Amino acid sequence: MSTPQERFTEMWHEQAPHVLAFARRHVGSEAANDVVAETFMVAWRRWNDVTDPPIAWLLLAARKVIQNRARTARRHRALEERVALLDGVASYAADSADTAITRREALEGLARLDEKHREALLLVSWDGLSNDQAAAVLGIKPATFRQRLSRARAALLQGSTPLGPGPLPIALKELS
Amino acid sequence: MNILERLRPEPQPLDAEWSAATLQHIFASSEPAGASTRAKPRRRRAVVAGVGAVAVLAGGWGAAAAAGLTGGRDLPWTDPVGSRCSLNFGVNPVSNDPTSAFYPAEPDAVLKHIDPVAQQKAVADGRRFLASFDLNSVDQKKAVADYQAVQAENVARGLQADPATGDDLIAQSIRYLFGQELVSYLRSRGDNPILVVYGFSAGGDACFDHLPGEVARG
Repeated sequence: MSTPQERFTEMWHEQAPHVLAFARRHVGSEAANDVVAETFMVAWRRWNDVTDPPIAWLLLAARKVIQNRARTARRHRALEERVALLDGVASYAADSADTAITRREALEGLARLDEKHREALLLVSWDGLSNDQAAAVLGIKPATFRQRLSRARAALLQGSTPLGPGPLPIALKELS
Repeated sequence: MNILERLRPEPQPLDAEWSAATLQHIFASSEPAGASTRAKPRRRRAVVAGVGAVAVLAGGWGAAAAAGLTGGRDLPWTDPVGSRCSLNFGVNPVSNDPTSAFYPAEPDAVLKHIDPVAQQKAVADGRRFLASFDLNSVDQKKAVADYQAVQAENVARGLQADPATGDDLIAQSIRYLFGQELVSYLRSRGDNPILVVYGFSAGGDACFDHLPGEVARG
């Protein structure tokens, strides 16, 4: 039977890259490693509480770590900064002839969503969580999450035409 | 495939050295939940702690001897109520033997970095530091305060604090101080601390068995 240290090490190898990607899109590359380290420190200290599969538990812990950091250095991120954060982690395989929008446009569309809708989309699309897992990470009911996800998809779809110099579609305007 | 799925980030491999150091730091910083509530040996206890990696030997001095810890340096120590105890420190190379107490928690990342010459130098430097370590010069109150400050930071982050009290708290504080100073020394000598494991054990028939904290822990 493997020891807790061995099982934790295995979890680290499997999940830390995913937690790192999650952290990078929230805090950028420089601080992401610290978030990952703190998150897994919490996981080790609360080893008995970590769920199987652990990814939703880890992302919830990472989210709390990020929130704690944000409280001490609260600031509103400008659109360009939000785009840059997403750009830093998003795959570069997106642009192709069969896509209606470019990578940059999609990232801008994501960045223009308010945080809670953007996060709903990305927890499912990028982090691979189920709706119920994502709801748990966000601390909301599954039904509420499904509604939020649906609205987020609709908002992103509305903005899926090339973004011109004119005003943004109302659904993509920041809600915050 | 929609645009969001096309944009999904590819998992990036972790930097091997950072990964190994972080894992070892995590293991060194605490025991997992549940372990800290286990009954601990009251009279004799031994801990192997690495510059990073940590493992708890359940068998007291016997296990410590089996792990080669007793080859370290025994430092007599008198606890606050006058009981004579001893603290033992040892500096050893990380082992590539999976059955060794000094086998790294992160073997793939650590072992491939082992350069026998660099490791030999790191161990020699570490042992030089150990030989010069003066327990009498340690300001125990400050060591405890520093260790408690680290614990307080952990609590502020929502982490679990080390529940040690009494002699145990002082011993752990000295261990922490030793580890911090050892890492600094190795780095100042151009050594990679990851190549070295330090061992620590504390014991004494009259120590660790008469303190309120110990009684409370059962």
